[in-house]
Amino acid sequence: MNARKLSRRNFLRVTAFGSMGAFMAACAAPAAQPAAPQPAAPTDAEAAAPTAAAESAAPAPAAAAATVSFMGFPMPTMSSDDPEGLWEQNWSKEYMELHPEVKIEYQLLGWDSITKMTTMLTAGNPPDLLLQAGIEVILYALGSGVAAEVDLPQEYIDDLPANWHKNGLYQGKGYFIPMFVACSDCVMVNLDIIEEAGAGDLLPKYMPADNASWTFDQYTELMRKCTYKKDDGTQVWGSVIPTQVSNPFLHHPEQVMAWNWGTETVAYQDGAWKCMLGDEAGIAWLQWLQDLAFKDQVIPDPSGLTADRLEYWNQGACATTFSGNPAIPMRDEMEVDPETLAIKDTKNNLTWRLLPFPLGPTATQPASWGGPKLDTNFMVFKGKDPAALPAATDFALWYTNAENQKRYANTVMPARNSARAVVESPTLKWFDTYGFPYGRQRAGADGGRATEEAEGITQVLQKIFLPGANIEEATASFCSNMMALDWQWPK
Amino acid sequence: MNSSNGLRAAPGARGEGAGSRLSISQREALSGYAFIAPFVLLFIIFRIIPYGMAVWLSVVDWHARGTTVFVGLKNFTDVIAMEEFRRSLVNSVLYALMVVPATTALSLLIAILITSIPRKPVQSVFQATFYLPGVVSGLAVAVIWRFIFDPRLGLLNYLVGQFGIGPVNWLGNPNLALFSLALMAILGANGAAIIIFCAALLGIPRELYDVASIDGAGFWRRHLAITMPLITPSLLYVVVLATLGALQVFIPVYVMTYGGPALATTTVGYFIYKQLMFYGRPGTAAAAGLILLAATIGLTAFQFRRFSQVVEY
Repeated sequence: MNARKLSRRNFLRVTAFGSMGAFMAACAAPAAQPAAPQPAAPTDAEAAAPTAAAESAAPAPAAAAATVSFMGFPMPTMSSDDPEGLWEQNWSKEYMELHPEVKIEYQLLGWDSITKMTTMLTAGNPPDLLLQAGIEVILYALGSGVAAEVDLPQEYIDDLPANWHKNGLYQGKGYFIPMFVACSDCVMVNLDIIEEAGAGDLLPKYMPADNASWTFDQYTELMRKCTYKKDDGTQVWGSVIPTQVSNPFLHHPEQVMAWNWGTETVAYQDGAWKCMLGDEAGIAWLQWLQDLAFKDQVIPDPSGLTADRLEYWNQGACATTFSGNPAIPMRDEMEVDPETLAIKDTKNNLTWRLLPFPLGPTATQPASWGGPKLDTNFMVFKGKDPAALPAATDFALWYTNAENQKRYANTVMPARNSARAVVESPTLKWFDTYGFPYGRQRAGADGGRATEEAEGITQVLQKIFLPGANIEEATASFCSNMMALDWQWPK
Repeated sequence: MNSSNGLRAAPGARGEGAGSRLSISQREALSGYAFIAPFVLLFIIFRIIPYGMAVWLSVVDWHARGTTVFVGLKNFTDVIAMEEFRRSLVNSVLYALMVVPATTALSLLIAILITSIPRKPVQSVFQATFYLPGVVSGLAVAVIWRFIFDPRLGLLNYLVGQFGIGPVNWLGNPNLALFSLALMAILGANGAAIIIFCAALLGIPRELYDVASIDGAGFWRRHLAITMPLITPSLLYVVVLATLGALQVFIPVYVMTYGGPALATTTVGYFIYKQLMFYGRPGTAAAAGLILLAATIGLTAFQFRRFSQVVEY
């Protein structure tokens, strides 16, 4: 046999083909699994069948063996005390005892959950189940072809607040399994500072949603009185608005503020998407915000401020609008006075209270951040293992069945009416009356542009707090960018 | 039978087992290839293929499990039409213009000072000291600098406050934010560049400086006339690497400013990150990455060409 010299060219050729072959073989591996049907959305029967068993809170009929990858952002009540997601792990464990053929693998998501989920969904590699999925998750999942529709059983739909299910649909299709409801972004006021500043009389006593008793002027006045220097030289501020944040969704407090002022950033009106921020009301609201820094001087310079609102608030600010979530008082370290709804944080040794946003000159109805499309839902995906989809759906339906929702009814506000009826917590009851019915989402969410809208608001906020800022210029740029986007349904 | 190089592969020759059909040179070549094979394989899998995929992603509207459509240059035109991208390109160039000359000059100056120390062990201590920050995570360094730049509690404002200046909003003022990031890179010096310069400086014969001193040349004259021409290859290497690093800057932006305020510090690296991680747009992210790659290659070629005219040896 002839001895052949292996040339560099041939070697590289062989190596390249070999590695390509290995690469392609690795890619093709899942397809080699026997009898693996293509992932598909559950049919009505599939969705309803496990539900019937779940509703009775009894063990469901044996499902196909499956491993469900389950990811979730920590519950608002647990976020500070449950870094490992023990809450979700315990629920998973309970389900696995009822269904030994199903294995739930839980992974906690932190503040990187938004970028992480975006990346996973874009890459077409989602978990089988996500807890706290909002409208953005649907948009990304649809874009990458991994969204799985869920048809909730009628009994489930009937047990939700009026129109909750209908308003949670996206383009007429359901993707959510509602777990709890949240209207965050109430105003949180530090009662210790208010007492020290002698500003207690400026606080509204009673806050019926249909007859709001305080205005933005009163709110500003409260902040003015709370802006002072302590004896030790520490500066106390009326509030804080950091503009430099990494998470694009952290500017929802300003969005809520805009609604309560009586304006909007983007809206669908008369059959078309319109940019509202440049209108008279939008400009007036931004002027009020800008005045807080430059004229009233009740907030520290927001430019470049990266501090978390809550962290800054704890350091010394009278009012903040972030994380005003009614579930926070349910944490172990919080003690709630049922009469005054004052909440004593025994860990950080401060007392605070939740208030709705004040109403602006052109607002007709107090609003807060929430609604059925907020990230308080379960969502299932077409993952790698088709058998996991029905198992994940069944697990989510079991997790949110009426009996189980009653079990966590005093931890978070449950989604079902039957579970809301057993809520005893005074702050959750307060929220149920004055916050929950008026929860909204960004209008841009329905147009498929929630992320861009949030980023646009961030840019506007960053611009208006710069020295010599021109509000009209900032809003013109925002509107120009928004209207250049391709808006989806209901356009 | 003869091997291709004309040498007869003698059966039973030294180092050749019975039945072996390869000549010594073939076996040597084969073992050489075997040694580089793991690298080549990994290089292809983790470099060449991703580069190829980036090119592919830049010309398609990609959906992981949906229909991927060829869109030609649309992603590129979309990216170029974005104000944020154009701003990020300008910011990246400005950042490089601030950082590259300053860090190179500073590194060279430090290297000259280090090599002027007569005792070798002391030189080594200084070299290690300046190199050490380079092994610390850039993320950790950026977090520390964020505190240094803090307008209320930052060390830098304390220092400038001693001269009656400030407080300065280093990262919040759009006119200062990019400069602040550059300042961080400059003051951090470039440990690797210092080591390279030290090695180059130590290779210059001492006699040349002695002769120049006898002729009356001062410190600057000696280094301008002797050092600079003789270290141009190292200088070229450092400048090219520093330029590549500066144009791709991401970590300080991600940790300290998130691209703000009002896009003042959005660099191309951060723009790409946002396109992919915030918006889930692999096509525009890939297109932006390739535009940056083309600009970087062009700039590097320009630098090589310019420097090659002045390289002494």
